[in-house]
Amino acid sequence: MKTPAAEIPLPLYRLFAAVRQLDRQAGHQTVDMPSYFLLLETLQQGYGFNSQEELLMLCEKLWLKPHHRNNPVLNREVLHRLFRETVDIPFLPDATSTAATAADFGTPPPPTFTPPTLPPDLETPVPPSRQDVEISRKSGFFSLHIGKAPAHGTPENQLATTLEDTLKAPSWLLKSTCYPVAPRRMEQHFRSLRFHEKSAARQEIDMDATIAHIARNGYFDHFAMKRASRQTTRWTLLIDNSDSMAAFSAFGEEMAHILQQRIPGNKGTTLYFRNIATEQLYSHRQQPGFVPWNRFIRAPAKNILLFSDAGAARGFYNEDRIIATVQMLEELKPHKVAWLNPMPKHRWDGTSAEMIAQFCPMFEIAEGSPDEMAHVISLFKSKIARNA
Amino acid sequence: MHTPLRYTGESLKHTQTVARNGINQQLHPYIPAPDLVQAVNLAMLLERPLVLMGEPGCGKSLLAKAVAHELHGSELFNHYEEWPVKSTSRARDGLYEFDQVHRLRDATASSGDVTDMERYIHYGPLGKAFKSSTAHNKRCVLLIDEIDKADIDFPNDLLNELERMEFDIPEMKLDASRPKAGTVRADFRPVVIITSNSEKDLPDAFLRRCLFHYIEPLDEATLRDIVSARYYKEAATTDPLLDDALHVFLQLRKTIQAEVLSIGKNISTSEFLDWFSALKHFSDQEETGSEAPHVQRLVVEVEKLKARDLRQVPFHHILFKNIHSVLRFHENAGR
Repeated sequence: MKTPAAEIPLPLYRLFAAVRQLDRQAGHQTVDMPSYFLLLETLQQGYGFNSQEELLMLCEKLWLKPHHRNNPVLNREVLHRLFRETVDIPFLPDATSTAATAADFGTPPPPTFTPPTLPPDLETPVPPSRQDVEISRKSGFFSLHIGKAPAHGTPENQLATTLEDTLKAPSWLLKSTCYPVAPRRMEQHFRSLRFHEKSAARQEIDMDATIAHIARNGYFDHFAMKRASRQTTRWTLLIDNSDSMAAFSAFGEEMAHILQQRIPGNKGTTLYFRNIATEQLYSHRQQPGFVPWNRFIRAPAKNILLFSDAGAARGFYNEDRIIATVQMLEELKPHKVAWLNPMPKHRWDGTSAEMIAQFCPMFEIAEGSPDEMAHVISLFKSKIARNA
Repeated sequence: MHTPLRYTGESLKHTQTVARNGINQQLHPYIPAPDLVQAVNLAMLLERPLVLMGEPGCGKSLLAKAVAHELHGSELFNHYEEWPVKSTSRARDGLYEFDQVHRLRDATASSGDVTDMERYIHYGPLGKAFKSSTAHNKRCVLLIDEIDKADIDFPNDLLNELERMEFDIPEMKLDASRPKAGTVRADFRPVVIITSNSEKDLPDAFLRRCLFHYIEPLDEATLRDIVSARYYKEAATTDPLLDDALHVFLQLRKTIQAEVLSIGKNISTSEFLDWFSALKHFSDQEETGSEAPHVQRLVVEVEKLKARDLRQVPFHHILFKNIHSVLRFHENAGR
């Protein structure tokens, strides 16, 4: 009798599911199903059965990428711990001692795939993924919580408890570099709005026109020239520097740094305000210089990204704040404005942010595919003006 | 199905001489750590590019040549391509360049057959690697060196070519007499080794198609093996100069690592080898008894090494590569 497909045990699936989830939590998407299929293919070729070390090496090379070095959520040590706790495959003692050496690589693979005997309690993975290791994001930012042991079955419980113990220290991880959107992705998003701007003074050879000219006349007499162009962006960041945003300042600074250092030719700038921008904006977090608000709003149209919790961190409605913010948004009407709120969306309910979000496209910062930053870009790429 | 290619790391334990375009080129010993050997083998088994990272000077780029040497021996340079990436590099540079100007000149001067597009195609390293991987045991080893120097979109532009192992040349497709021309396909996947100094992050989509390995700094035993193989005739040498140099180097590394000196960039294997080369040279001068005053001065300098004093390191300029490091070194030496 054939075994139903759903009951076929998938080797190392629980480990894969946990690693994939941690990878997502770390803000990346490098551990994916094709990498798991590749693992299976490699096992089919006979690699990975000689010793625990060999199997671990295989998982490490397939799943760990440069950004996992020194990453607090998923790194080599975490993978090793997960591996030790989820994989309990008996290896032959003599194979263990000999096959781990590099010199033996390639010689012992058996010609056919003969899966090792897996302890069914530990290696039967169904249902997959989120029941194994549940990682719940308590906020959009710094939390990693491992929990939810499976409800029944002693080995399962033991496994889950150990996993929990291993990874919940600390169960709340406070690490400012653990951004929900990887810096590289932010850079890519910012750059995706670049456009060619023609220079008024500089000229360059127009090769296509030159060749067309030769083809037309049958001889070459001069180069056709055209105005040189360069790529530019028009990003302006308005960062709320109030006390309730203190926990998110590192993320704001990272965005500012990317705009300033890694987006060549950006025509915008980064300015700071506290709660609501009214009379002036500060050019530095410590407020040494300022730009008058009136001058700012009358400048040529630009893409403005507001980075503020809009009162969500305080957890209540503040009518004055809502009115002042709506007025501020009215004044920003000539520009395209998007609001990036570091607080998770479910925390906006019942606060000023809930109201303000009705007057301006507001996005949370969250992982996903595409992430919320991508929605900001879509908004700016579209021709829809604010409030339209 | 073919037996996977195998790299043992044994073939380049001594300096070898290999001819490249009729000119002999020396290949210095390359002794990889066991985990690096495993990573290379795994990459060859899975036919995936291997992304290497590590401190500058740890031997990332040299690995490709060592692998090619083991796979192809004296034929190394017939099956080895190098693509040193620059800040201006575009993905297409690695595939091919179409010489428009040459064709235009031929057309206006009526010299040559301008319909023979092949004459105007210059293949890049990736294109050459595709074309030369004609058999399983003749797979080309391609080094894409310092990929992080290029624009952030550069790795993404290579995704298709590296995955499908083929690319199109639209200019060749203009040649109606050869309908099948214009697609370059690798019969067998080249062994692709990519290095990065982490100056820019690589895209997730690119990384998920690659294997990644970080080269850790070498331990004392491996360093001793490398120096012995490169500078001494006997494999197990007992030269006090080597003992002193290794001690000082490892202590310096440790000190810098702990940020006691706040020197910034740590000293790497390649700097150690350069430094030891100078030490060995002037130590040998002492044995030959050179009397030139400037040589004598440097020979005396080498003598300081015997004290194993981190504040009196001879030729420290070879080890420290930025002004900040040198100034901090002098500052500590003056205490």
